[in-house]
Amino acid sequence: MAAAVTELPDVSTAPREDDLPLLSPQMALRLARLSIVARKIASARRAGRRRTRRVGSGVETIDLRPYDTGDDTRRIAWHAYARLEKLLVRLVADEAPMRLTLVVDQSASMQYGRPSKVRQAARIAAGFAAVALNGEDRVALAVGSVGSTKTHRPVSGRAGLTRLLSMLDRTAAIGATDLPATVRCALDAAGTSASTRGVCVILSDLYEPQGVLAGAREARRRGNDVAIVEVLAPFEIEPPDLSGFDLEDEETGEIIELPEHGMRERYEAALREHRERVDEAARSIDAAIVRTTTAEPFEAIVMRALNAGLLSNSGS
Amino acid sequence: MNLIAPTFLAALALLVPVLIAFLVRRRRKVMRVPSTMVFRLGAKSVAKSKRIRDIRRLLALLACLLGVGALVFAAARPSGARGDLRVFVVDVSASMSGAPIAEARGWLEREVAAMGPNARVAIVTAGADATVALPPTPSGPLVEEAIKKLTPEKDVASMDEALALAEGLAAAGSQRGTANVIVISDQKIDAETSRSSSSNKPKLVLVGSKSDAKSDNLGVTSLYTRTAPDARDEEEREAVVTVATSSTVTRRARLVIRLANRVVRDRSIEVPASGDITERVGIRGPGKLVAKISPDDGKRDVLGLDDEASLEEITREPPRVLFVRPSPSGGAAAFFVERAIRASGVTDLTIVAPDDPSPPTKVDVAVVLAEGLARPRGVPTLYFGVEPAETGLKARSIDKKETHLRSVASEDSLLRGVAFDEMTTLRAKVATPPKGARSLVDFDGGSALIAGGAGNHAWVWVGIDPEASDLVLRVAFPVLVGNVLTQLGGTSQVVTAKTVPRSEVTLARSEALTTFDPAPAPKWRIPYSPALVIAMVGAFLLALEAYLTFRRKWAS
Repeated sequence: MAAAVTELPDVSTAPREDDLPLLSPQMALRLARLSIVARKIASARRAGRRRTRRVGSGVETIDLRPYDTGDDTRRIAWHAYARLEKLLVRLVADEAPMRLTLVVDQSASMQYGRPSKVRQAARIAAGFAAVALNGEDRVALAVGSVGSTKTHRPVSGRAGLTRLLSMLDRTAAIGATDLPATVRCALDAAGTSASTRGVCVILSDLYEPQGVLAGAREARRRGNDVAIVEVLAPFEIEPPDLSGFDLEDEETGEIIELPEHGMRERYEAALREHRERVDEAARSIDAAIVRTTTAEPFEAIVMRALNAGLLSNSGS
Repeated sequence: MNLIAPTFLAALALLVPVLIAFLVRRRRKVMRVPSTMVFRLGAKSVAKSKRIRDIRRLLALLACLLGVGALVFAAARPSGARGDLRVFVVDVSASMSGAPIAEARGWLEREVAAMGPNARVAIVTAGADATVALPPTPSGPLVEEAIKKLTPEKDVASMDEALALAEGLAAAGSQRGTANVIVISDQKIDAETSRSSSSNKPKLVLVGSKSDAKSDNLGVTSLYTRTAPDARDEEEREAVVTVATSSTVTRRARLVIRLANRVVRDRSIEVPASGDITERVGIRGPGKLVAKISPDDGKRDVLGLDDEASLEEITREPPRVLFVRPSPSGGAAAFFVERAIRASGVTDLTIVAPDDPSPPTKVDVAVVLAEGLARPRGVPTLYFGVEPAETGLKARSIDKKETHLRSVASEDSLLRGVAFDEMTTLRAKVATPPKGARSLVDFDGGSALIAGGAGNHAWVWVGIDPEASDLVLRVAFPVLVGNVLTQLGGTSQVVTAKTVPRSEVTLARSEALTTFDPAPAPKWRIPYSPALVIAMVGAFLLALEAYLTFRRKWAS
């Protein structure tokens, strides 16, 4: 009664493409002209290029208030005094670096594709990290699945990028998907809390048994701006006709029995429904979402991120 | 439990092809995919894991095998050893006609269905006789047929005999299980009529109690034909119809009497409250005589069985006469009597001696001139000077001094056309008419012509000595003999129709002092049967497997 398990001919992992470097020098140069877009004002303790809501030691005046005893006299707005004959003190915004947290799904389902989805996700994560670190932001990283989550504390500068690339380069798909736990680990490692928020980018195929965008919801719950990059293999978007097959889930071992006919149409409808649910969930947490495949060139993905508002041209 | 048809177990060999078919059924390819999350929306079935799927397939195989095995086993018809017996006593008296008997049939069908196939059923009908309509039989077509055949009779219910019969059956059947008796009737039955112990008294099912206007009934309680008292010949008959009602008010009814499909009487009659009325109508000729009564006042008539009565009137032949006379020739008296018999139209005349050892038995009338062993008993008889003990006559001889004619009952039909004027009689016998007899001719010395008895015991006694009277020389003698033979022959030819007894027509009810406890109404339930249960389990398992296999296909 047992039947042999077969693999789809063009969906298995391809080590040869996965061996290519995550970030070529040319790509690093192009990325240097970009910056991460935080949809809300960044918040961090360390000084950086991002304006915060807190009154601090920056240079940009955000408001005026009456002078009070003990105020720094250097902050007195003399131009206002000349016009109003009142002593007013300039309030200037504090400037802090943006905290970027990258979460890469390394569950077993990410091993599919050419290159593999996990490799593609790592490559995109490396690109985001390069952009952020080039802009003096701080970047934390978590790569995880059930029982196998690795985190990297926030880094900054070119040296930090090297360490992150090293970690991403070693990523291998294994285990079941548990993005909420991975997100929690990542945010804990980044030292973020409700008062210190940043941008969290989740890279996954979004096959989350915990619920639609469960990981993104967790990140949003902890006050982060959320961006989602969905990485699928091409056959997951346009699969061959698998009517009459029994399918075994890579992660859970679940067996489903497909009908004898018409599975392609059913799958298209099901994928459409799945994506509509994802979009609805993303809207509910005000998250941006970018969809890509393993077959898409990295440049195209960058363009797509620009179009989606995850990146902006700030370098030139 | 045993198997009624164990040969069906050979069909268990079907399990092998079922097993093979299951094993070779659709070896599907298994494809490993990143996630089945999206595929699941269009899948036929989902198993938590390959192991569970295999277990499920194994269970399905097991269900199939069990299902086939169960069906085969059910075909072998396992049956329980115990068989309770229920004896139903069904009142099939006339008052059960119409709705009550239909209700009784329905109750019986429900009860038998509820008893299950292992129980045995016996039916005893209480009609004119107590009859075992169905000996103890397992429920099935025989029982259904027996129930359908239950029809009311035009008679009263022999309930005592039926109960005794039913209790006898129950006692015999109680050795294999419990046995009890249920009486189905339209009236209460007295518990005293049962011979069972108080713990196992019959139960009673009252039917027909719902019908309204129960007391309003009209029916024919009696229909018979006889030779008319004043009949001139055998063909002249009289039909007598009695109609009764149970109503407490006078009922108007229409009585139609047909002979050979020809209406001989159609009139409206008034039937007194809780009473009856008798109608007489003269008829002539053979044919089916039907008397039909129907309400003519718009009120209800509960029973239909008693509305019509019929009998078959046949062509009347002259009576067969046995003439017993002294041997060898009988003298002048025998000569004149024989001539008179033949003159009255009798064609079938047998003449025997008084000591004839083997006289004919099939005779309608006997004419006895001499007493002896040859004289038939239980046959209407014309006696000449012979006084058998059964007539109660004590005759004495008189001479011509006392033979002066004193009176003649000329209005009596026996003496129609008979003239005794100036008759001379030298010797005769006279007797005092016994109780119930009537004197037709009185001499000074006493009655010389007496008629008495009834039916087959009717008789006419002639004390006038034919050899010592000029009566035999007169026309009156053969006329007298002819009248007597017609009358006596006619009395033995009373034809009576089978009618509903008066107590049934009037719906007479006697309140039982201690009636039986009522039987509970049959409850609807699936009749238990090992074979049926096993077959249902088998069918369920197969249906479950089929559903699990095809549910997605059906849904799409």
